[in-house]
Amino acid sequence: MVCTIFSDPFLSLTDDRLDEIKKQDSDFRVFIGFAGATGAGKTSGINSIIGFRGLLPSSSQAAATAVPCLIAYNDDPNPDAAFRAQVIFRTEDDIRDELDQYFNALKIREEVNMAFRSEESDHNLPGPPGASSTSARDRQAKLVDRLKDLEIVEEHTNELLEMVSAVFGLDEEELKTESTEGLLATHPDVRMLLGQTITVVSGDGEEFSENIKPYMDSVPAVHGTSGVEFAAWPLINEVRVFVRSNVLKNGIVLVDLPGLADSVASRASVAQNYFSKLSVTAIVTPVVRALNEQTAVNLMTENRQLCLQMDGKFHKKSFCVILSKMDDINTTDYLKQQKGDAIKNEGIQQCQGSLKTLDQDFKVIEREKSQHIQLSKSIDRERSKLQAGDRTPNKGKFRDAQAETLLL
Amino acid sequence: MPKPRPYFCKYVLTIVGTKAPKAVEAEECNKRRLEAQAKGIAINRRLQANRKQAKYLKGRLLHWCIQVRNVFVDKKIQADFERRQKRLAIATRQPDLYDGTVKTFPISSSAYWEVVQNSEAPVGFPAAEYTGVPALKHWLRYAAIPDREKHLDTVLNALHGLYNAMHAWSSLELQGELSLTKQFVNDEVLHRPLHNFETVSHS
Repeated sequence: MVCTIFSDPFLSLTDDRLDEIKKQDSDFRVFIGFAGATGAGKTSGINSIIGFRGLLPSSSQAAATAVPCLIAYNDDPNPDAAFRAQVIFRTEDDIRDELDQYFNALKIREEVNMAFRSEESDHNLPGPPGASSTSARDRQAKLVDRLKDLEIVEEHTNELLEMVSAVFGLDEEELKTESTEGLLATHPDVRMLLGQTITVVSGDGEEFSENIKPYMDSVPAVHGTSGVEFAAWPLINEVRVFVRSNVLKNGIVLVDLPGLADSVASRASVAQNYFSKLSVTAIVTPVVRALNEQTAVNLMTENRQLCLQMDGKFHKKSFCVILSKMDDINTTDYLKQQKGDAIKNEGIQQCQGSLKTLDQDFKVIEREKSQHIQLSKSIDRERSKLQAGDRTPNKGKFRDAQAETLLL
Repeated sequence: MPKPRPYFCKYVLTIVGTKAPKAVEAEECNKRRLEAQAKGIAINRRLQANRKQAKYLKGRLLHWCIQVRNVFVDKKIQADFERRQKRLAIATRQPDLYDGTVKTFPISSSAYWEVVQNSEAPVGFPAAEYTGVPALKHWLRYAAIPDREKHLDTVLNALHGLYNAMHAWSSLELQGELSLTKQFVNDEVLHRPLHNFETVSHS
């Protein structure tokens, strides 16, 4: 009976269905994104949330987070794999498309430039006799349109140029003589990475952090056997980091995004693509910046696309503002600025008064200490002399003065 | 004949009755040294107490300045957020959710690590809570609950459907010979997710 039951096709289907449900449960993710300008403190904030200092590289110099980084819970019980990462590279087709776009954009820019120059010279020439002012206006409008086209193409070209230069180490002039095939053929280390997923595993947080840094920031490094250094970030889709942090349990994934309004526009645009996936968004801004800007969260003013994408989740349950670097304040200057409020607060007044007294006492005690040190030194010198005097040998002569006096 | 004996006796008596001047001087010197050491310890203690009190007061002042600034910045952000939210059409349909307020979390990661890793707390941040990081962590977990609830509902519905199918099958096919009960499914199928849910909800 039992054998019959367990060979029933229905149970096999049930088993499959149960596996599906289990997979659905284990694949569940809640994405919480951290967005903000470069250097705002997103990565430092995430490191403190997950409880591992310096695990994800953060830097105030280069834009440290150059690729999206997803931080999730590490189910692996092996202590030697306490920290894991998967670096997911873009496919070769993807990079080829991008390079083709770049070279096409160069061609288009050249054409638009020529058209602009030609229209500009037409505009400067005097019009035929009897020509109406309307035709002059039309020529002017055409010129303005051409100028706008040129700006758009320039912007697009520059964006692509940033990425291409970072990888292949060539400037704009050098790239003019290159092609997609040529670049990929002469950079085998780059080609080797495309389509790959590199795994980084370590039992030590510091070692892990050093090992993933070349994939996460924009600093050139050696990524292949030829020894050539290049920045890998334009070739990377995302980096997935797995750590054992309780805050990440039950499917929570923190997403560290490259800086919005970054100097490298292409990196900023990568961040945009993640917003639709996020259930919760935290905008990170240093408190000093939030204080000084005319609109407190100025980042949203600068980035209108962000505003539009945020509309669906632009409410208190799925959006928050993190004011970072809260300790960045000069108390003396701030108290002077807030003199009015400080005077009204009795506690603060007492504090300031007591602190002044303590500082004065401190100076007095310091002087006493200095005098005491001098005194101690002189006592030590005297002691040394006395000790030296006792050690001098007595050569049979009677040295006790009092005794000598009595004998006289 | 000379009379050495009386002088000799006098000399011996003198030596036995009084200390040599150098020994007295050394003793005096030692005494002064010990007094100086004691005074030195007292001075250092006063200095320590002074600096400890000064650190506490500076911490209070820093804390006050930070709080005042946080309140000011928070007001600006709330006003800005309210203005932006008013432009959204959806805001009128869900007034509870779109009430014009937003959570702000002033944090200091550097102060957090100093509190957590050093034996002495930094000025102005006597405990981790003052750094703002624990509050942020708590809110992030709380903000993830709606999605987690939806997911849990989906999984439970799927499992419930599966249970119903198995129950129906067992009644039809086995005609009561193997009856799937809720207890059986709870114990044999759901025990792990239920245990996980209970663990998390109690934590």
